[in-house]
Amino acid sequence: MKKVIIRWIKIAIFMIILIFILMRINTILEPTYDYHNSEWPGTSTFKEFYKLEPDSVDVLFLGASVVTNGIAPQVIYDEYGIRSYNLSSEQQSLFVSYYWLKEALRTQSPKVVVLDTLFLEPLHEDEPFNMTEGMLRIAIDPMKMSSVKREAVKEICKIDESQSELSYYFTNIRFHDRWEQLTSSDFSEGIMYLAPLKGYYGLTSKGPDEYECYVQGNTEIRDELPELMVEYLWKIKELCDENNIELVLMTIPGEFMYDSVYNSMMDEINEMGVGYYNFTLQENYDKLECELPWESPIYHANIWGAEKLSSYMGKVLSEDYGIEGISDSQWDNSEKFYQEFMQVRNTIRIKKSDKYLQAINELPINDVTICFASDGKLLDDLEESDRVSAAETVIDAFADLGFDSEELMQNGTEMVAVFSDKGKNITMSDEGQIETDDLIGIWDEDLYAWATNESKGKISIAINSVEYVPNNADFCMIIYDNNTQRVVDIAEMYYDDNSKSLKISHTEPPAE
Amino acid sequence: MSYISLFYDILILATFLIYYITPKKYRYVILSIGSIVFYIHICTHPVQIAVFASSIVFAYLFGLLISRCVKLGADKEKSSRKYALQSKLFLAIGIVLAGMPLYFIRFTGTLGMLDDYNFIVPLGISFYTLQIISYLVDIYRGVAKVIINPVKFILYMSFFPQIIQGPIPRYSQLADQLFEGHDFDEKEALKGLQLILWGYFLKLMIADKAGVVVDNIFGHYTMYSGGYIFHAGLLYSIQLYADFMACVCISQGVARLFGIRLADNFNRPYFAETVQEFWRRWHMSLSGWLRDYVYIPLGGNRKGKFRKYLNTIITFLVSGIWHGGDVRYIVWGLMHGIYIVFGSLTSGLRDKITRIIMGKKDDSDEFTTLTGRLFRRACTFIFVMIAWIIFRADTLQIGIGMLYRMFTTFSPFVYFDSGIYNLGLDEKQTHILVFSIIMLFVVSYYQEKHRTEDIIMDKLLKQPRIMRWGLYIVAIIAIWVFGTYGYGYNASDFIYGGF
Repeated sequence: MKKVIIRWIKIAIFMIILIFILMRINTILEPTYDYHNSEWPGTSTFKEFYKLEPDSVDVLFLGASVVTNGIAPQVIYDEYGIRSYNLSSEQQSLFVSYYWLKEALRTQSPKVVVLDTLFLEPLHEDEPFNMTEGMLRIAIDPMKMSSVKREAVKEICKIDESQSELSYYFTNIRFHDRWEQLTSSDFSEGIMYLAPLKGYYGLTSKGPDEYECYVQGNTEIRDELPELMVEYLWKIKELCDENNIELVLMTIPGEFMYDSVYNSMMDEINEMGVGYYNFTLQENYDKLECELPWESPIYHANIWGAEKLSSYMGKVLSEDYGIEGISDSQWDNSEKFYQEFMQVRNTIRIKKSDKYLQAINELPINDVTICFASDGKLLDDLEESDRVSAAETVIDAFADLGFDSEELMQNGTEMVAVFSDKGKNITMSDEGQIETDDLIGIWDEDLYAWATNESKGKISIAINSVEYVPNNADFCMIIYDNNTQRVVDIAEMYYDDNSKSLKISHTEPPAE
Repeated sequence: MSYISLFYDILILATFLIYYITPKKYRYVILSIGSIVFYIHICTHPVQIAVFASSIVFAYLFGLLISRCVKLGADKEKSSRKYALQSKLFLAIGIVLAGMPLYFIRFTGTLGMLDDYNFIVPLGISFYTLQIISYLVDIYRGVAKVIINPVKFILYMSFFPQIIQGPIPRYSQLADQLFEGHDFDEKEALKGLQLILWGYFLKLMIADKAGVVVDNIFGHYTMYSGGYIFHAGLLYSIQLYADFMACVCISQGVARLFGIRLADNFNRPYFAETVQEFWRRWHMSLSGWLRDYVYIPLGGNRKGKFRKYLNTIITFLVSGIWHGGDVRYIVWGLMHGIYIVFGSLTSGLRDKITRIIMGKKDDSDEFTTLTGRLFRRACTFIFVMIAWIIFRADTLQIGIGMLYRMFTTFSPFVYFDSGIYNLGLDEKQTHILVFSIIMLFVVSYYQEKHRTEDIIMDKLLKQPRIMRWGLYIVAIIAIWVFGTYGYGYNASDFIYGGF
């Protein structure tokens, strides 16, 4: 008997060690989408949601990427005190919205659910869930093991027989091939759970110069909406009714809208009898008071458009649905992050060099890293008088930053600098005297930046081995957001002949 | 879904636990129940269960009848002739009735109508049919005892670790082991687990990985030059061996958990120096069956050289038909028959050539020079590989086309440019495959040197626990991460499971 017991103990110890190791491996192999590597950080959104205190969310937003970029819960809280969370994700179809709503209701009791209608349309007709399998996994994999997840997985495998139920519990079945793509970030959970923006993520690209709202033409034609989407729209309504939740539908400007789809959607919405805010219509779009192209709420809104859209939705929730403002530290504590997020990105709109440099000077140095590089040829081809007047506009601003600005503006003076939480590291010299690969500003092993003046006259700034300086730039500045571990702005200073001044042109950083 | 599935793992665990808490004399019942549950679960259509059940019923009944006739013929001398005739008749009818589903499937396969009837084909039909035939013949010959207990009979015919892909058991080797309850033997169980792990390694790290490239080239051979077709033939030879060996290892491993030793089915076949030796090492249970129930009854080598060669050709023809009704299997079987006949006819000449090229014969009449043995092994492998290309191709015509292409447009430089990384496996995956094949070779070499399958398992069990555990964990992690399974693959389908 003793032998048997010892044997079983040995087996148990072995199995515990093995299972622990395999679970850890599965966590590493599972792809994560966070602030660092995605404009629609689904993993962060869902993982962070679970950290909220129970029954602290009054409004839930559901929908696809257009909602992720369009609705900033922090704005809604700051202006109206309304506690909301953005549970949207990339390509989130109504099937996923339903199950995430069901999952959310295990810990939260929202008064209103705002659901975007984009995926009522047949956007991925060949796919069983109107979304690709990969996006479905992004949404479902972060869900904790629960009866809701088991139900969702069963339904998924019932509808799409190519899927494996087991792969949702043993994720190695789906993702073990990812071993070839692993990077250091897969081994650390640091940024994955960072989601103080409460499911929102802001873009900075300029919008279109103008937007043509939808105008209904033919009231008769109808298009068949995807059956599964309609089925789950009604399930969402039913779930809301069972839980005394007001369901509100929303269509963000820029979403595809044409008569056949609009008429079919309105049939369902009218039958449902729910509130509907269609921002593709002129009367609703105008209420946003967005000034294009910079305040763009169109499709994937930028941060300035999202502020307007969120502000308006906050007003709707407060006035039309009577949601009261409540002070909550979970939203109070994230305000600083949001403000810094915005502040860092606001630099993208600045064209004047002196204003840009002033804005840089005001950035929270603990949250950003700024790299500078100059080949000393910025004012090379100018007449002396033009050079002097151009330099004068920025001398003070450079001085405020800590540069020897007079020397900096001298022809032929090369410069590399890195400003980080470790301090300001500036190196200047005459042409040819800076060695190549002059390493400045390493701040940890996985992430480093160096700015060097290569002898062939080109400047370069690279972060994590990715080069950011545009071709032929004489003076370049890179702003790197430490919190989201992304380059936010690539700014090139150039001489503008028309205004006879130094201006800034911005290049959008390459996608991660 | 078969041996690589969560259901199978749970079934083994459940059967294992219940087996050892059941009184010894009833433990065979537990195995029987486990086998029935397994078989019902893997059947995709109820007709398959009915087909399997009918074969078992016929085999059982005719086994009883043959045994009765044999016994009466031995007891009553006066009527011995009558009973001898009766037993022959019952044997013939039993073989026909019990094997009817297999004959029908082969017939439809030859006519190209298999797809229409595929749904009624139970898994393992080729294997259990041969098992039934050997059982009935052995009773007739008096070398096997009839199994009267129907539960024991069901167990013998459907023992779940080996029903799908063998090895094809003999009554004398397996029956008693199945029916007598075994005490738990920790060492045997550990070896069983090691075998199972090794089986998973072979299947997921070699067979299925190689299969990605093989499927690609065989599916689009006109796009590839001879060098790539050679590469596909090489990989298929390895894939087939690893896949089949994996199933055998898992079967043997599971059986060992219950204290049962299944026969070995492979003896490092690619180490063979002649095709004849290859068939003493490859699928040994099948070649043994063919020898005992086809070749020898035809006369074997006792009726002169011509009959010997004819019997050899016929035996391999039967082997080809057993593998499938399609003409390419028949051609494959005939190729091996011709190889052996030709090998026999030219053995003297080949020995002379090898001696001249590679080295002198020593006094023991063995070619002891390493290069000599390697040369003979390489030649044997090439001949076998050529036949495997026919075996694997979708049709005979495609197989011949591939061989033609391989010989007329061959270029070894495919191994020197990066072309082989564009065949379905990228560079990293290819390196994993190569490493895994090297591991297989090292293990096989060690086993060949010591002439035993258990050498590595025995050595491993002598190591300190921490080292053993470390090795097991590393192996499991390697398979877990680098194995070819899951999304986009269907690793559970073993190649020989289709026979």
